[in-house]
Amino acid sequence: MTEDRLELLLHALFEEALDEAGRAELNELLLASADARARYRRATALHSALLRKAAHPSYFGAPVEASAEARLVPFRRGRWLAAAAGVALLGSAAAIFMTRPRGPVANVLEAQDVAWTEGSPSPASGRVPVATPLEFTRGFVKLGFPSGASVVLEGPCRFRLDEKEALSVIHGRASIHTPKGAQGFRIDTPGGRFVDLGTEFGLAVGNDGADPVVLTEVFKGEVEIQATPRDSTRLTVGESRALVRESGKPKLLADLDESPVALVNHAHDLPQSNGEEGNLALGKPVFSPGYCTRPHGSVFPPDNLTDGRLNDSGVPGDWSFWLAPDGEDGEFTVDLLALQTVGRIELQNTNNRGIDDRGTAAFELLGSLDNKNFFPLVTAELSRVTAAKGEAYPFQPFSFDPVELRYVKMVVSAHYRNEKRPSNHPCQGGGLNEIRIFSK
Amino acid sequence: MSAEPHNAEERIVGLIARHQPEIHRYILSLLPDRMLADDVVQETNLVLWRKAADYDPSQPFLPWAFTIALYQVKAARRDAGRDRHVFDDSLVEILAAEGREAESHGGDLEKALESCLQELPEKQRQLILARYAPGNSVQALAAERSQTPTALSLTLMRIRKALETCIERKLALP
Repeated sequence: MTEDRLELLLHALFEEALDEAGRAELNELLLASADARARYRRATALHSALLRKAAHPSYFGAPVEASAEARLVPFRRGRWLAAAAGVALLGSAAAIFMTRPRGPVANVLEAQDVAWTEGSPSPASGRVPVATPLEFTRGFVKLGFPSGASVVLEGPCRFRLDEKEALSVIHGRASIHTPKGAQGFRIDTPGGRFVDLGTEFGLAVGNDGADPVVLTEVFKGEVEIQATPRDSTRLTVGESRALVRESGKPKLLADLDESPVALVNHAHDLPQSNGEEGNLALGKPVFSPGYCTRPHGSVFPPDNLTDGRLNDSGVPGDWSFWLAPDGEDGEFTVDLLALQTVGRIELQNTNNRGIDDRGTAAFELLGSLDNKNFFPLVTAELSRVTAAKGEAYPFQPFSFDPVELRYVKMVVSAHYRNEKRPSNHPCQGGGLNEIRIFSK
Repeated sequence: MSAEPHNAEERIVGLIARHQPEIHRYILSLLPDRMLADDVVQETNLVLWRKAADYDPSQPFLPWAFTIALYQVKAARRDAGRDRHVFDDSLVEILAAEGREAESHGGDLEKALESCLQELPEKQRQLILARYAPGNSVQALAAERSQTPTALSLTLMRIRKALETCIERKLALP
């Protein structure tokens, strides 16, 4: 009986069809019995021999010996190449290092709340397909590379694995960590190449509608930016730049929107639960009479309010928060697309990526069944965002007697501005990162 | 054709080449994921090569190679993420120790397999070899043979079982 069960489990294992429960059962059976382990070893030995035979049939069974002329080349950075070259000198021994073609390798180590785009491969774990564009609209994915380098990607994100110890990030936020020995790991973006010199750094890859705009900030160590093959710049810890194009030429800017470039709240690790459960507003359309638009992809449309992205994250051209037009308090309306009972609303304020020149100070929330006649829900104030770098911004909850409604309008009545600037500075106004709407 | 190895590196390359079957099956038994196991075999080969100078030729090669392989397996398990682990840590330790012991009195499995493959009915031999050819899925093979994937999978299980029994018989012969 157990023997048959073991056989089925081993078969599933070799066919790569063993599920979670099967794994647990196999572990239990093997731990409990030395006979089962001996059986497992015999089955694996056969599996191994068949795999090896399939990988290089012509060498199967032939005894291999090193030839007298064998000479080994020293190891360089491209160690697989060196291995292949060295072993090629060994005649029949060549096959041993080449059990299969060596391509770039990256594994999905963790994934959280990921929504893959339709048509994209969706590796929940294991190998990332090579030379294939991958895309997800929401969530976080952590990739690991053989050198020990790891990359946390934050949606929406498009990326591709083309070469060893490198990743092409076409759009999205990436946080890169390379341990000692993995120096040289690089990220290729449409704006340029970022070579890690043993460090931790962040990237936000976006665009201004026509040209790429890439923001980078070095958290530890050093990074080399190659805007063109001949033009490289080194950044050290604490430094940040925006790589933009002006008149077709790449340019590195230290300031963006009249403030130093900064990547606040970069995801060094995957965040915990996202608190979206029961949020009626997630992904719903939002309308506003206007929104802030500035150069280099600094545009902040109202759809950002219900996109599930928080903490002033995002990339140029695709930020996570809404900003009212320059100098205005602003307003917006969320359409829940159907009548809903609503009894609680949570708001996450913005401080415009740490620039601290925008955000909501006071507001009124209104409900409506038809988007014409509105009734009041809440009048209140919102605190200024004072979260330290890397900390999540707080959500402030507002509860009221549950009512039926389809539309929720927020009218900002006072905003925060940068106190160090003159009071008539144009860069100020209302803004908000996220609105969550719940039944109770 | 062969000559005395000139130095430690050459000796090691000869040993690595000769013992690929044992190294592969040892690693695969601890890490039953063919892609990961392939990576670890490669890593192990390179580490063995790099450490050529540390190897004492008066000692048997395999126990030394297995120690290094086990270390590489553990590193790969650390890197690969828990959801790719088939076995718990404690089971890996047991399998590693027993595998090392078992290998010291193993026979020529490759030769036995060749001969057992020849004993299989032609259709079965073709099927099992096709299943192991790179890129072939059970679905594709079933479609080619106008069979359901379940039926084909069951056939594969029977072929494996037949091969295992045959190999066991051949290895038991003096």
